[in-house]
Amino acid sequence: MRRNVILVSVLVLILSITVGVQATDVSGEFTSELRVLTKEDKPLKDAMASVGVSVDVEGDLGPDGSWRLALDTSLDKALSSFRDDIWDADDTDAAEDSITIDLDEAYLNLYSVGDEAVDLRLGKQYVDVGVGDGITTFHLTKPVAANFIDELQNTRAVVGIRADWYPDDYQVTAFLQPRITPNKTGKRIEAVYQEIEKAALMPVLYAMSQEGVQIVEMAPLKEEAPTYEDDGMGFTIKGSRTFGDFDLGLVYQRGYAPSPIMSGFSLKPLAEEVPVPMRLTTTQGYLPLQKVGVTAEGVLGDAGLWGELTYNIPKDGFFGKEMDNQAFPEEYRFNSDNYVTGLIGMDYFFENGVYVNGQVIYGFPQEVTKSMLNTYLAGEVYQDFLNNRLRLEGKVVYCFGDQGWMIMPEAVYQVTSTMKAFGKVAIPGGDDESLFRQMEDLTQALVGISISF
Amino acid sequence: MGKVYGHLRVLALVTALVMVGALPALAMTGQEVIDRVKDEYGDFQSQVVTMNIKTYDGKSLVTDREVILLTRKSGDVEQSLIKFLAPKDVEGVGLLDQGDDVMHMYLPEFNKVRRIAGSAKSGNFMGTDFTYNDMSFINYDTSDYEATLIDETNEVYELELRTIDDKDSSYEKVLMTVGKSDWFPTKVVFYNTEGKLQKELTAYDVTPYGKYKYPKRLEMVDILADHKTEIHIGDPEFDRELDDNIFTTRTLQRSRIRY
Repeated sequence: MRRNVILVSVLVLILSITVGVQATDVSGEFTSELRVLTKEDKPLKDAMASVGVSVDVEGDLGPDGSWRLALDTSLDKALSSFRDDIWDADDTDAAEDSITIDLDEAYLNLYSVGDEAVDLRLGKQYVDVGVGDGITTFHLTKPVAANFIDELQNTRAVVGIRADWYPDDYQVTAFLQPRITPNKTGKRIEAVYQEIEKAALMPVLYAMSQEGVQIVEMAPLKEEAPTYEDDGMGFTIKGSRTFGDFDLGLVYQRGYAPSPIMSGFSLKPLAEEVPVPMRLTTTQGYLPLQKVGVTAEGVLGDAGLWGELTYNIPKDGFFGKEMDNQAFPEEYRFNSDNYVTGLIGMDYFFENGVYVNGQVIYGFPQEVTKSMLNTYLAGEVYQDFLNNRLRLEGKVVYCFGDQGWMIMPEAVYQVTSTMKAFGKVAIPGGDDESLFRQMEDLTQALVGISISF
Repeated sequence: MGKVYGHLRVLALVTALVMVGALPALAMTGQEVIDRVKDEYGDFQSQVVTMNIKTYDGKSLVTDREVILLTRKSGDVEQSLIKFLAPKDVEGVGLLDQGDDVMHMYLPEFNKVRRIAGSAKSGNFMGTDFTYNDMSFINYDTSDYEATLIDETNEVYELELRTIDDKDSSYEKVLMTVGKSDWFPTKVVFYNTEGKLQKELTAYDVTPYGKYKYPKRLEMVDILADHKTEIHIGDPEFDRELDDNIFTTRTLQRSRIRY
């Protein structure tokens, strides 16, 4: 953590000295939240309290460019230990362990490079070439950053170089990503995913036991980060142009699925007995993927309309042959077959101020093999009340495949010109075997305030 | 223009004395008043201005935001670009109106430009009392309306404006008061589709800037909702050369607008 602080401080110092302090703007937001996991044995005692500060520093390089540093700092503690560790300072080491500092964004913009209609952005940045609302089938540059279930749509910035070129009426965007930025998920979410993966292995273990094999030891799941010598850097290019009421785009993307996936397993006999005691080792890696697709975004009458259609090409040979095991549940029979994903969405403002947004998505970002694909319906509705001070919002996701769902009602109240109070509930559910139902323990309620400066 | 108007007034007076019976034919039509307002006030080819926008719920301050507004006329098309400069929760948000009903919005939170559909344009713009369509009234652009002169005193003209295309109308009618001394529209009153008085837009401290005039403060009051938007206007720059590249989605995405 200290190393991060020093690194960021040095970066800010260098940039401030280089461009002059007078050219910098500092803004930020202070947030305080209380998160109650309602399915815990003692929900209130185990409630998570967090305070956080995000600071943005932006600077100008005259007409030729600008730069930005965004830093997120947060302190997350169980409410039961918050008072002891923080207010009474009984255990400052424990408090320090709960502090996270993230460099959210850090980039340099260069405008009209070489007097051409080319802009460059170098550094850690958010990149989204899709047109979906909060989701895209071109997700290789959009790793997830979620500590809790309500944050599953949050993404991380990625490191790379972006170039935007504007020849005539066209726009061409290219992004070179030298190294992978994997998903960053909280311990609770990770534990659920691992349980699901273990459950998927159970039929295989049962089948093996029928054949005189006994698994006595299971090696911990091992994430094998990909080496870029194997498959090259991540690269995205999109060309787009407006035709009538629509912006149409053509996209090519290559890179790595930002979430590790089980690519194979092996068995090692531990003794010469019957049944044979075995050690089971699973391997995981980041699947190299290529994507070719089209995007369309525009208006149809008074409604907004958007869509993506993508042809996905997983790297051949990434999955071991043992993964295509008939004993596995069908969705876990991973292979490198090519597949199609897509989404279509629409939004509309009604005259009474109600906003409605609906998307049908074939293939969520974490579904990176043909066998995993599901169809989802994602919807959002909101309306402002009390002279626009109160916004009531509801989000829902429904999976047609396993009939799982999640609903997230939310209320945000503008207390003063700089302060907001908010409350949010996230409730996953559905059929017993569904992914969302298996996240049921993560059901939560959240209240908090944010103050901008 | 003031001299021209003075001559016209003398001419009208003389004509009135000679041909009293012909007076009604000499009165200005609503459209002529609107045209004169445009000549006197809004005939600039481009404008750059910073604004501080405050919204109030009753008397309570709810939002306090800084924006920069750039507008430019290109033939019959008026283009505008609005960028939010502060505070943090809206910083970087941009709205680009390229004319011909093509509007884009940039939300830095998602690092994305989105086309705005027609249904969104009748909604409030960023919590203010202006709808996207009302924004044109900041520069008193009434090109979507047909004007009728409904009353006239020694000091003012009273105009009634109705949208040319009824389908696009959020209002049954709009009444505009234009001062005869300076041809400035000091008040605009909006009646909703049920015929109720809904909003009042008032201009304060009209100040000359070279050959143009511009208010220092605008106030839009939503009478039905007891909500108010105050716009404090910095010194505007008129007829500055603004490059074609400014009114593009490329510029919309930049955190700072260079012009």
